[in-house]
Amino acid sequence: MVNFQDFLEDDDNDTALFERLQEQVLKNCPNPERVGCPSHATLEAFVESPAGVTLEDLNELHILKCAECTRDLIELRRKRESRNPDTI
Amino acid sequence: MESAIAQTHEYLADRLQVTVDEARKILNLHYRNGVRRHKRVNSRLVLRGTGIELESLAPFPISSADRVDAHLDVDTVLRDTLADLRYALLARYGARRRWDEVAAELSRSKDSLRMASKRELDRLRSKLGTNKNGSKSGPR
Repeated sequence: MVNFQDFLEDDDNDTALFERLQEQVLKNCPNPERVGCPSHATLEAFVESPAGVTLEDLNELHILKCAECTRDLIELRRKRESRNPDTI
Repeated sequence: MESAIAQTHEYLADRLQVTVDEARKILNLHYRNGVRRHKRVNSRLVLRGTGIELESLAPFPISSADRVDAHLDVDTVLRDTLADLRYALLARYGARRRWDEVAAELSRSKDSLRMASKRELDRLRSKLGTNKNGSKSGPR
């Protein structure tokens, strides 16, 4: 994984910040029982088209507090990018 | 003054011969020390606010390693964030949508969205020990 923090300025999309946030969530927010997690279908819909998913569907800020959901989102984004290499 | 008199009395209790001038000097010394002490106590700065407001004034956090290891309380950091900004942050984080894409969905410009979310982004940076150039902040 490219370590943006070491040698690059954060870009217009604050990529380094969100990468750091993701690291923090993965490290400090385990949720093995999947308490409060939105469904896999909801996460998939969110990655494909965020506009079609509400805050309520996502259980508000849950994905910012759950390592398991974050891992699911990483995998879903990877699949999306493999289908559409031009997307970020 | 009463405290200074009592301290002077204690000080002179063991001394057999003390002139008036000497006693006056000792009393004056104890009095001046008492005044200085009183001023020091009353001149302390008091912060009327929250810890988050204080952290936002600090240029860099003390240790980035400590920041990464500490649990980030997003509910507190984003406690008064409007719903559309929450959505924008989630879309950026979870779906990795670019700010211009998220702004378009919210019928806003990218710049206005980033300006509106500046406070939240700065709070997150502060909590995560990341400064604006993306690098980790370390101890000075």
